[in-house]
Amino acid sequence: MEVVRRSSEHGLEGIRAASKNGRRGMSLELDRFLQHLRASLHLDAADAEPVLREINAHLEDRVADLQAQGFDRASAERLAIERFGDVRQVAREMCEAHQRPTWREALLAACPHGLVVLFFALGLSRNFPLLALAFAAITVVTFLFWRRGRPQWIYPWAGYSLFPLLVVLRLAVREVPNGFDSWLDAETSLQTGAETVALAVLFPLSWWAVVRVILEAARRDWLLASLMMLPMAVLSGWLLLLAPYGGYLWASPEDVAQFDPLMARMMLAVAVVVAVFFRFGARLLRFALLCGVALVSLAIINPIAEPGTGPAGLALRAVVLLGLLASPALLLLLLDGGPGSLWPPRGQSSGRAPA
Amino acid sequence: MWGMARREKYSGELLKGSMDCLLLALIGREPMYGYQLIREVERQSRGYLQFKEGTLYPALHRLEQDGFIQGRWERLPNGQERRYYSLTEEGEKALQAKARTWKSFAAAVNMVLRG
Repeated sequence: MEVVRRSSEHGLEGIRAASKNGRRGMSLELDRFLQHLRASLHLDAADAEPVLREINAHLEDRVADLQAQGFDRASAERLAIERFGDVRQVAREMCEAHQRPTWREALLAACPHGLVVLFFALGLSRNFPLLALAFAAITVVTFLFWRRGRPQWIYPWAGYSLFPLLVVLRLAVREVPNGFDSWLDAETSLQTGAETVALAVLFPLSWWAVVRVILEAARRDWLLASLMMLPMAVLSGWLLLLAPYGGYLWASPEDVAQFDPLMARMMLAVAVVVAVFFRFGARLLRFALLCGVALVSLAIINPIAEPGTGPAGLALRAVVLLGLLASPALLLLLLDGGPGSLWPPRGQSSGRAPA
Repeated sequence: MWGMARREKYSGELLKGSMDCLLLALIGREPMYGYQLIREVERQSRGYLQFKEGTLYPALHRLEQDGFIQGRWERLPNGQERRYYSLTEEGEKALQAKARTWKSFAAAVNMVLRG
């Protein structure tokens, strides 16, 4: 008998094949339990597959013992699943045991933020060709590793890759008072029909790309998808700072450069937070960390960009910001019925033995 | 993880703190797989300690990530696979340290209880 050693996407097929050819076949009950566990585990494919194999072996041993005690197969499986415990708790604890990336991976995750720090610290924020090149390089790295199993550290890189698409979206929408508005004043609005048509075409494509990437990320782990949203939130704050001066494209180099030291410090703080994020275990604490750094950024930027904003306006902006960070989880709630780690996806059992 | 004695229920926090020590101690005697560990804990504690089975594996994986134990797959003649864990040198040191801590803690509690 050969055990199929593949990525976790095929892990269950491998376990089924192994069980089928071994001394016991996998039943529907155990299969459903393992599927639910798999959906709740937010691990890299290489980590999840052996976990599932080990737990399958455990359950088979327990079922065999119960059968030896006189239980029929169906009852033995129900009891084995019940004694195993709540699948969500097990998945959560397993995630916390495994999702402790090394410092190397934490530093890789902080790299794109570090690159942005360099840009601001060296006063290169107005060097559009170099900026475009940097975004292109980040996007290439993201694309390569997104297709190679999506290691956790790639998510901040993906966030920067999505930022230009969000710029396109905002440019096309022409609404919502924030940092993009100043691009659209009477002197700088797009005049040519070709540009308008191009935006009209790019708008749905960009929406599709952004939503698809966020949803794909969220289905793996909504927390990592929230991490992915963080650069967009903080860079939007930078554009808010530039709004009174005509926006990034039309502000003078001096007006843009005046905020470089502030943004360099802010992005350095974000880089440190992202590195620390990867070393924390508790998921809610990690989410709180993301929210904290985003809210601090808002608290620093908003009074500078819009001094007249009252508490209500600031609170509204904070809600929008937190909504942006929580949008992956909210998307899952809307489309899939909920993040797998919080409650079972539609159509799957809770992991407990049926009454 | 928590355990249930025949007549009383030990608090989860109490057992959680000693879980690593128990696992390292058992694995230190001989390499064991997960299900075997559960049975041994139950047998050697005469039924007073029972793991909530699912929470054993996160604990084992955490100990492995920390370098205290090392897992290896073994295939039985009937085709079944099991993952056996054995104690590493680091694990041996960790076990000694945890056992000392536990004994000190137990002695201190006993002193207070005796009055």
